[in-house]
Amino acid sequence: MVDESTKKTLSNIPLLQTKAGPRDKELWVQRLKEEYQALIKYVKNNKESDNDWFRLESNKEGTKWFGKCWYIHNFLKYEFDIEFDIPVTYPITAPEIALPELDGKTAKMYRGGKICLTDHFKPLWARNVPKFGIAHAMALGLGPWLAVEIPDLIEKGAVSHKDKIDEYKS
Amino acid sequence: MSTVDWDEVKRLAADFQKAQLSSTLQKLSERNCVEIVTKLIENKLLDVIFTNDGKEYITPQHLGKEIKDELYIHGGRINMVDLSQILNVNLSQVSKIASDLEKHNKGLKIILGQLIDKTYTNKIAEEINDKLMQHGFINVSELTIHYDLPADFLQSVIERELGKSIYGKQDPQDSRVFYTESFIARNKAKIRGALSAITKPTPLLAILGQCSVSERIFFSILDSLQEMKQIPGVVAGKQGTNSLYIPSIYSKSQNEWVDNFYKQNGYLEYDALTRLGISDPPNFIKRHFPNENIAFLHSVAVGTSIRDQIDSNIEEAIITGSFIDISPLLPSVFSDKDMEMLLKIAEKKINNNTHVFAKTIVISDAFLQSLNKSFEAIAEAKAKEAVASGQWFQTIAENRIKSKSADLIFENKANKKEDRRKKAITSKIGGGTQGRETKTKSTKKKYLQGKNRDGESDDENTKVLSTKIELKLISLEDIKTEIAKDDNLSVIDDLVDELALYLEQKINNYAISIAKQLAQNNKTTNLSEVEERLNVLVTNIKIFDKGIKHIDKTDQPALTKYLLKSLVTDFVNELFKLAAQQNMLQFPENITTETRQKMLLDLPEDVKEPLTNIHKSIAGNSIDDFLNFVDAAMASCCLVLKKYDKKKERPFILGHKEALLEELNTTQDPALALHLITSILFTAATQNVIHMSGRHVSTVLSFLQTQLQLSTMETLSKYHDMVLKSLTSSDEETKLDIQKKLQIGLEEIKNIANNYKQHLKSDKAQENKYT
Repeated sequence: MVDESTKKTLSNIPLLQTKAGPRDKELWVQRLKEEYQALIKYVKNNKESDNDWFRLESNKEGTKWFGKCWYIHNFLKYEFDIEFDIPVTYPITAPEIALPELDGKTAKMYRGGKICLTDHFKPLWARNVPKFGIAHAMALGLGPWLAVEIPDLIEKGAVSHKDKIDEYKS
Repeated sequence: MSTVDWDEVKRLAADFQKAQLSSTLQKLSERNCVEIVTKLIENKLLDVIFTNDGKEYITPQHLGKEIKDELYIHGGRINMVDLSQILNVNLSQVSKIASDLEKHNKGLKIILGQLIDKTYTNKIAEEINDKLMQHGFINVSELTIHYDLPADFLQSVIERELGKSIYGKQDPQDSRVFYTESFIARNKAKIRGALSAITKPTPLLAILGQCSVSERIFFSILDSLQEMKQIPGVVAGKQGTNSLYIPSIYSKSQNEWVDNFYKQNGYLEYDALTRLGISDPPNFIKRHFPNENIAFLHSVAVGTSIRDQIDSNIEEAIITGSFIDISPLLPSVFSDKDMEMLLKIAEKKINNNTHVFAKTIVISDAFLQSLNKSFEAIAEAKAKEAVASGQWFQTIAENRIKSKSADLIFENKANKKEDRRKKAITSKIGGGTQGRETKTKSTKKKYLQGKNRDGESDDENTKVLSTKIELKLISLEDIKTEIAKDDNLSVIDDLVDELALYLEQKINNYAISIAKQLAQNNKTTNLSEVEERLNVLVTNIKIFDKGIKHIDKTDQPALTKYLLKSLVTDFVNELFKLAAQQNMLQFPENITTETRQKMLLDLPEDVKEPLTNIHKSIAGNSIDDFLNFVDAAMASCCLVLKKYDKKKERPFILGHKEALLEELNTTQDPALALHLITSILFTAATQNVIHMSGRHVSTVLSFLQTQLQLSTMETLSKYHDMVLKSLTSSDEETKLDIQKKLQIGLEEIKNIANNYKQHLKSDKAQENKYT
């Protein structure tokens, strides 16, 4: 199940209307616009609620996305890179968000650092095609994954803070 | 178009970047804030107060300000509990801050959990003043109810503001009460008016009710008025509503009345004083006349003038040797008790030769003595009478016996006395009502009663009593009647009774002593009388005995026995009586053989023996036996038997015969006539007398047969038979018949007796000689 706060954030993200993938020339632009608008809104919302947790940008065509996300645990900020492609069958298929740094560190991940989304995500997404977009994938997929996995990873020592890593290095 | 779209996309991407890069709003989440603040409070870096719901913080300074604001809004008075609710701050915090405020701010006060500031107290003061002006007085306790504030606080407020904003006066007696000057003045005027108007003692309660002034101020005003000497009177009795206000005009007139009355009458009646409203008359009199020598009696107080009068009267009575009744000299209000007390006082002064009777009468000794003397004569007479009648000896004898069983008699005596007393009382009351009326009842009536009783039963009664119980020679009634003869004495009630009682003992004692003397003298004379009588009896017996001896031997015993039974017994009885008297023994009126026996037991030895002999001789058959003992018996009783005088025999026989004849002539009873005739004929025939009963008639007749003429004898024997028949016959008819015949024959046989000479055969010459 999706928790309350997630639901709230989801409801604050505007839904998309255009059903188009990168191959649908004209319509994709339309779609891309909507994606951006949704993302802007989502980021704004996050910032307003002091919950800013990622940075994203895309290539020209908007088919490849990359950026950073972070999680604060025990007053320490853990930062990870994000990257994902828009699948050809988008928006029917959800984008597979990957955190390449954590590849092999956790079981909840596919090869290449693609996060293993919950069972709920996919049917939810499928139900909401074409209304859901990248912003939704971030909020529904990556956000909860981070909240669950990162503390666990830190506990296990699989992930350590950058400063500490620096300390080790030095 | 697509380019435009792509531009737009680019622009959007740029916007996106911009949005991402724009600084994040530094917003703390609520829980962070709470955590931060608690941390700060923990470290004492921050001084704030939680609100009740914990959602807000407030600094103490601000809370103080808010409290002040609220206080202002609520008009200067607010409850802390309300405050904590309004400000949404814990009560303890509020009260802490409030107490801080109270410390720093002079005008603020916390009273009973309420915050009160100066403006409010000023407001209250004004209100109180208004109320005071309206009602004239105000009570702090009422205010406490009205304002719901403690009395002490209000008291202090009022006292502080007194003269400043509250214009009134504190009650000096009750500091909790305040008045306006005008109110006090009004009430003062009211009370002054009321008190001035009162002319007689009035309970303060009544005055209070009349004035409709509250009890509290009444007394303070009363006190102030008394201090200023503005009330014409005094308050008597203990402080409080029960006390009495006595106007001076009243006490003045009271005093005047008392003075005047005393001046005029010389005495004061307690009742009259109590009627005037004086609660303790004797003390009042003492205070009122400190210089007068006043005697306090039971119901009146008496001054010297009356006492002097009494004293002089008593003295006069003593000098003149008379008596004086002081009751008419004194006013009617004097009770008997008063007079008695007065007399006691007087007695102390005057020498003790007076006696008080009937409470009010003073009798001098001289008078009493004269009275006594007048009774002495009576006493003597009575004593003589008593001695003469033998009552005296009898009583003495009785007393002697009684002293043995004194207890029993004593009771009896007491009863009798009581009876007599009761009688006296009932006669006194005699249907009167009560008190004085009974006393004023005519005494004459009473004495008439007394006299009546004298003549009748009472006299007997007392005699019986005197014989039976004690020697009371002169009865109370006698004395009373005697005293009552003196008009001066009898006029006064009860005096006669008391005097009689007083004199009774004395006179009786006197009478008894006289009686004793007389008795001594009388014994001898009495003795000689008895001696004479006994001698005559003995003579008679002897003569009769002689007569018996003429008759045939065979008939003699019967006649002798009869003689013994009659005359001899009489003689013996007489002798016993005398012996009993001489030896102070009791004896019944009728002496029988048994009583004689009893008496013998009580007699002393020397008397006993001769008397026993003579007593036995009665039972015997011979007169001679009796005559043998007579001498000794009489001697034992100090009597002398005279020698038998033959010369006396003849006159006695003659006398006897005459007596018989006389009796015969008067009688109508055939049997008796026959009896008498027989006796007469016997006397005529034998020149002797015979003492016989009816039964012996036939015997004597048969004896006379030889001496009488035949015809006479026949008539007599016939008559005798008829008499016998009439007595024995049971048949009514024959009885009547015989009686008729007897009546007819009566004259005939009477003639025989009257002319007994003719009927006798012989000795005619002798017969003539005597007739």
